[in-house]
Amino acid sequence: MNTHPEIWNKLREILADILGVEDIDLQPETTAKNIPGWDSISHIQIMISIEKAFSFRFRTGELSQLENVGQLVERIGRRVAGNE
Amino acid sequence: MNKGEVMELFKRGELGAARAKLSAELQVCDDYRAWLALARELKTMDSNALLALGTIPSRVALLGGATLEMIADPLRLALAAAGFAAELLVTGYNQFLFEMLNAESQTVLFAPQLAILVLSPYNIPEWPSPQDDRAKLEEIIERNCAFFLDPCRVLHDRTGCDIILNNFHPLPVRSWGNLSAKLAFAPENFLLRLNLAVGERAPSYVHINDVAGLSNQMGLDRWFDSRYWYVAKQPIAYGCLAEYARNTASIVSALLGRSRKCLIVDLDNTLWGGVIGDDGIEGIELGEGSPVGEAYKAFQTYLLELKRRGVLLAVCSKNDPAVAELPFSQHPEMVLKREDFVAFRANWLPKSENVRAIASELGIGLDACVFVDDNPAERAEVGQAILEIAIPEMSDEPAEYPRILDSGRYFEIVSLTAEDRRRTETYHQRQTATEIRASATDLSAYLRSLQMRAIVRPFEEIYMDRIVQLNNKTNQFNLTTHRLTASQMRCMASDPTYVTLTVRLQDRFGDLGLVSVFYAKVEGSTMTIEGWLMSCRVLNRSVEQLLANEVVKVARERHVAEIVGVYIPTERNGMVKSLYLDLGFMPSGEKDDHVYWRLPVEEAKTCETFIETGGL
Repeated sequence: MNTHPEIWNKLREILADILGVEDIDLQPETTAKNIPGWDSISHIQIMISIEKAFSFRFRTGELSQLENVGQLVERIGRRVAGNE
Repeated sequence: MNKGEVMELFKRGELGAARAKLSAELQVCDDYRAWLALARELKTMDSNALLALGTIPSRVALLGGATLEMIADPLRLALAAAGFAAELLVTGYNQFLFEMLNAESQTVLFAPQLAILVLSPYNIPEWPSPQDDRAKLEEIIERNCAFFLDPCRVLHDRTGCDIILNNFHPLPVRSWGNLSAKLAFAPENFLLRLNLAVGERAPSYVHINDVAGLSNQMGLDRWFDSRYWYVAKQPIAYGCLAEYARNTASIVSALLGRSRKCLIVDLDNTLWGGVIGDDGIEGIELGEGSPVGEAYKAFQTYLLELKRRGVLLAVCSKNDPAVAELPFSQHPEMVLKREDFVAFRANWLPKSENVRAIASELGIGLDACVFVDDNPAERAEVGQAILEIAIPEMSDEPAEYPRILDSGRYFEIVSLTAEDRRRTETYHQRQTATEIRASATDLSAYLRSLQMRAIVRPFEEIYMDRIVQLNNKTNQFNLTTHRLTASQMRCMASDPTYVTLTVRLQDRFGDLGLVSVFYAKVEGSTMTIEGWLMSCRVLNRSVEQLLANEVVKVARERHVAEIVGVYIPTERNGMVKSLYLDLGFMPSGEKDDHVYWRLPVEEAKTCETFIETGGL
């Protein structure tokens, strides 16, 4: 949570737009199952919103295989920094 | 996207204004996330918000060889913005054949008016191989056409629904390289042929959503993102879903008669560069020789093409009238001529007043008009005064004008009728006739002088497109304003319990085409008039009296004792409020917004008409 605060903030905005959850308790270990409305359809909608917001493209494999929000933020961070 | 304003208007219950704002916002926003967020917020505030925004109820089934959930909300928004209260049935991934062929599928049970079929090249069952000759290739194309069109026929026969079928976007790779342009069996070449064949073989109830053209316009690399096809079976990339939804909604609008009819244009810096009053005929920029002049000429050429397919053109300019006419009479590069316009207003009044005057002069609604002006202040003035009008955001770059107007899809049509091709001419005839009437003191002498002749016939297949168009576009002289699809009207034509009639009219100025539509249901000894409407260009010509006489004649032939007339008031059809009274009907009570009238056939008198029947 201490790393990439700007990514966490943007992610909250995206989740608010797509899922309508405003004051979400987002922790690194949070998974899709913990968040109401985060199903296979909205997952894709969230992923494409992330791509647009951070201007990069997920790899096909990454689109469906992410364990938790912490891993997602780490992945975004690495891609935005151009380290991957 | 400015969500806030749409939400605020909706909250205040100003639904018309909310819809107008929504439509304007969706027109210029391509951000899928913003569309989803707006749809979600509206639904959170009121679960029926998207239905409440529209006024025309419709039932739409979404089917396809793709995942459809991602398309559903953008489509709901675009349909609401176009004025439809669309109930949307979203079916499962790749279930389209089952849904169309099974007599008890949820689609059939849903009884849609309209089915939207989302397909991609990955749904094509059969591709040619390099050893296939031309005959084999044709067979493969035939079989593929049948694979998609036969289920459409089955669904149509069962439910009567119209079907919007998309054609195929090109493939992302060209395995045969440039040579594929010469090889009929190469996949890219084959797809072009298949698209043409599907379009040519599509029956009248199948409407092509031209995804091939759309993906070309957007760029195939933007249109198709293979990652999302593999992960989510999404054949349209998210950045293009807004455009897909707008395009699809425009076809629905055309099908249900909501397309616009008239384009009202400014002159200075819209049709030519510069100000005619300041720069003079030598000073304005138009035509070959200057790049800017070429851009304005191209815009005029585009407008002329619109006119040729039935769009009415009108001028609304802040100018001295004589000065505004100058380029039309004196500039050699003017593509548009004075007679291409059915109305011409050049004065110093607020433009909103002129726009209202033009619509009323032409007898069309403000919701049938599009206003084009390079000046943002004029656009704002008209937009604030008239919610229903469409106002594309013109830039200050004339080279972009045709594309900006084109991308609004205001004038989408699903078929082309003979009336479309000569609409401007017809309006001119009507104006000449109006002028003669203004000078004639005796109305009946005037009507006789028109030497009108009419043919009254049941609905006939050759006129079906026009019948449907008139039924769905007429607002003023329309007793019940029932909007129906071509299929529904064909059913009526072949149903022996229905009496269907049309009037074709001619006068000494020319052929006015098919101008009136009538349908009534006979049950026992009662005939109930469910629909009666007439084109406003033949108002006060005694067409309704002629038709009333014919209706009584048919009623006698069918041993009907009583004719029941129904009037359903709308904001627009006040002119026919007392039609039945004028034709000798007696009031018969009111119920649920319906006003009933009755006419015992025995007591029916012949109405005075100035039109001869039989033989044009």
